[in-house]
Amino acid sequence: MMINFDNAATTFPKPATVRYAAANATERYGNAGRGGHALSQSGSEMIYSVRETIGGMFGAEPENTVLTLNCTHSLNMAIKGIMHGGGHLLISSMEHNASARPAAAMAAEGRISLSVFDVSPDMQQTTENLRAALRSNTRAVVCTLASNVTGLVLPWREIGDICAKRGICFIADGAQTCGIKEIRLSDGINILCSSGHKGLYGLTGTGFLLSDGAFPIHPVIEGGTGTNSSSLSQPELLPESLESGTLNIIGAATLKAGAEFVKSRGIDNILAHEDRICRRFISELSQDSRITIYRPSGADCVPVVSFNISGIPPERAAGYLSDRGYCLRAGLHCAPLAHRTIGTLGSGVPVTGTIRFSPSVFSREEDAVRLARVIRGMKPGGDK
Amino acid sequence: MMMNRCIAELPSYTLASKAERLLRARGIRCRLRRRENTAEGCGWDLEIASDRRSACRNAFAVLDRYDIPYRVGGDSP
Repeated sequence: MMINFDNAATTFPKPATVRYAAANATERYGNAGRGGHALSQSGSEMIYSVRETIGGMFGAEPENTVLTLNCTHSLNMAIKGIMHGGGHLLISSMEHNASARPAAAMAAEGRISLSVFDVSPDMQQTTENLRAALRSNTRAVVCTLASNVTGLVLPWREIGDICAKRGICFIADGAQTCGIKEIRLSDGINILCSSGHKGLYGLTGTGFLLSDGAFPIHPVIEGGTGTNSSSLSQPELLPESLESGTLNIIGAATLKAGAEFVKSRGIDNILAHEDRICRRFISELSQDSRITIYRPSGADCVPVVSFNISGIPPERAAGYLSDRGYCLRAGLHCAPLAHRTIGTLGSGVPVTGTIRFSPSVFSREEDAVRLARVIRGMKPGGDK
Repeated sequence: MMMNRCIAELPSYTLASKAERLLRARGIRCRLRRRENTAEGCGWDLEIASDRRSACRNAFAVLDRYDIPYRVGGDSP
């Protein structure tokens, strides 16, 4: 039997309602916003209801709810769309490559200046670091709401407040937070980007970008939108201006079903369940002095636990666990900045990367305990 | 009874749907349909029909209040 503790990559299994939504969508919907016939109309109505559900969950208007393929897609559109005219961009030292790479690419092309502010377990220090890194021409701050490596929650309301006072666009990466913690655009977030297939339980290939409408987003992809078709210029109105080409309509239907599943379970209940599993897992691992856990004590964290076992490379450990039916992700988790920050990447570090444990609402505490016992029984050679 | 009829032309299905919901939530009867003849292409019309003379005025006031971009259709009073 396969037990998934890699839900930070994508939640698995999906709820029954999500699986049903996928099957139902294949039988019911045509292309959305592309005609007036019944099949297209049913697709259009469904897509609008997805915008209402997702926008409503995070405090965005339906027309400011842009459906995308994943969080990386959303972040690329946000970063490149906001920084289109140049200026200074500030990102945190815990960013995923979804943010860091488009930012670095724009900087390498000479289109923007880029700097990184250090994230500390002390949230006050983090906001001070942010303040110190601001410049007169800082146009946007990009910040994950919680690290996909350590789970550390960043002080997003304080960051939003700092940005709002200076007229800076705050772009938030909610990939590890949406569906796990209550988030509202009114927290000071101008643009919220997320995947739909993690904490919101939709299928892979779903994501969204939510805007509060305060900062125009220049499109990075042009094409058919089903609006103002006689013009060769890209429409300016959201959401279509950022939605060229056919949407992932089946995926969108599952995103709505997933979000409704999360609402029915209750975000607080889901977090409490996953947090309890993480705490038990950490408690079990802490019995082995060879194990290092990368979680600042007392810090607010989402249900993600990174760890290493002395003498066993993370990938070897994950391979060993996979052979025994446990799915955990090892390596850099596409977040080299975060690994550099916690000391698991760079010259002279004892080990590169970590093993990451991330439960879902379907995970069971007893499975986490059994997994921890398997980990504690591992020998440096990888054999028990 | 004389029916009052007017049309709000909207640039996208998204905004047309939002407008439709806003009006219906306020008891204003309306119907969404694909625009039949438009130079821009791909437009949506919100047809408002009511036996109350104030319905069209009220409908447009709601759209204005919510910053919904629209044009008053050609055969509206």
